[in-house]
Amino acid sequence: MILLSRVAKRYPGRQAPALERVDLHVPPGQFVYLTGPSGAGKTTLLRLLFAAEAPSSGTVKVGGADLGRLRQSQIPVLRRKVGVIFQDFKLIQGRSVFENVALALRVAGINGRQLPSRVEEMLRRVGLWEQARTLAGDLSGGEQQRVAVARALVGRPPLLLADEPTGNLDPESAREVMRLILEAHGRGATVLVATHDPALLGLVQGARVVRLKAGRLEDGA
Amino acid sequence: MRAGHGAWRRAWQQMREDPWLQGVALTSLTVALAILGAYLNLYLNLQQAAQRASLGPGLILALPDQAPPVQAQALAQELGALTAVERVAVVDQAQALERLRQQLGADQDLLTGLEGNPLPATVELRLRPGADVEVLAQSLRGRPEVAQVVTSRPWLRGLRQAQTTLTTLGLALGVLLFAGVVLLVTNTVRLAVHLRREQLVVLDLVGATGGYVRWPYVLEAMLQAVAAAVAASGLVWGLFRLLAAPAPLPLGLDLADLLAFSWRTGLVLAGLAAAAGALGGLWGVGRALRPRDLA
Repeated sequence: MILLSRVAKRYPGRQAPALERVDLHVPPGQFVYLTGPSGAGKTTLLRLLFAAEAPSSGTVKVGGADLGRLRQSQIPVLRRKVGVIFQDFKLIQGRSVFENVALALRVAGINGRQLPSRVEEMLRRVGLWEQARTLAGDLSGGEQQRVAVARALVGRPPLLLADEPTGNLDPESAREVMRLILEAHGRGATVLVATHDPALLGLVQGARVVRLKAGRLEDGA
Repeated sequence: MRAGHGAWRRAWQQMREDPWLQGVALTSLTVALAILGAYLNLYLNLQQAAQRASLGPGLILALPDQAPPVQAQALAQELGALTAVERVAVVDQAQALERLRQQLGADQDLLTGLEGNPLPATVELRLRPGADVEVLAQSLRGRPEVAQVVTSRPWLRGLRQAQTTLTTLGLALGVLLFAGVVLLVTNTVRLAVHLRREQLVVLDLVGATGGYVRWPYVLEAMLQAVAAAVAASGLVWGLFRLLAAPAPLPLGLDLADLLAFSWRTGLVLAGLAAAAGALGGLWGVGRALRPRDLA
């Protein structure tokens, strides 16, 4: 599902590389924790995987597609196959919960009767169907993150990336969000969760843990 | 078709979500389009007036003093039957003096000292395109009921030259004003993109294509521009109506005619506004949205 080969990422004006000689192979269906201190390169690595950044050198492959060779017009197609969850939710605050989740289907050209039924199914799964008409900005942090999870999963992507998904949440909300991510894994999705919170690592039995430090993989590769 | 419908729906949705932005865009575009509309109206009315002037008689036959009106009518009837003549009109002495008075405009006091009416009655001919005015003039010279034959060619040529120069200058100024409106639309779209950054990041994240993001902005700009054109037309119409008291101007023009605002001008303005909206919208989103910078 994911293959990184000798990947490096350098930003102009910064001496130390964000990533250096990273080799990583994640087979389909695996659950991977990407850990390491702040500034280790976890977010950079995730951004490479949904083509928000291009590597300075090396090869990044997702689902067989070489992202370095991807044309600009092919990037949206890739992103519809990758669900992404962020620490800061990245919701459209002025739109309803329903509209935020529906957006992921609309951009993929899914409209008509299919759209409301799939959004409803997803919102029921994350326990937010009753608040479907509420504006996203009016929800609590935990609820907003559940909307973000619903949006990431409604398109049934084979790959789910989560960048510090519980970083802004209380322990109870964090457990609920992790339960939803685990449920997606149970349905066959490959999952990569970046976190520096050791408490999260114990929540998923048998998960693979990959450690990053100063842009290099220390172990677990 | 379905994708197009979706773009209209999204454009409408994002317009409803940003009433403040719509207010700013409509106000500034209305002012800019009112300036363009006022200019366009004056330009079209002047063109029409110039055309009317240049389409004046190709040949004027001055009749002898004291020629009876019936003689003028007979001559007009005879000449009107000629194939080279498109239209013929008899202008009696009183009408000729009234016309001169109008053409003098504010200087018509010059006529107050006149004893009697020195102007002759005339028969004015407008010739068909291609007719040889000199041949006809030659055949009419020497007839007893015609005192003088005046061809309008030399002054007409001068007027046409002046008209061509003014048309070119007028068009250049019009293009500049239009470019100003396009630039204003471009900046309005860029402001909208800036204000909706959060939304654009999300769209980019979930896999929206460039077209999915861009078209609603272009359509929004077109809708704003057309709505502003309607408001601007109303504004110019009202303003010109206030200013347009009938007042004769030199060259037989009238202020009321020059300031008249027709629905056709409004339609042209709406068309120009839609074009400016499309151009400015495309340019604005093209410059403001660079995909890899968003996520």
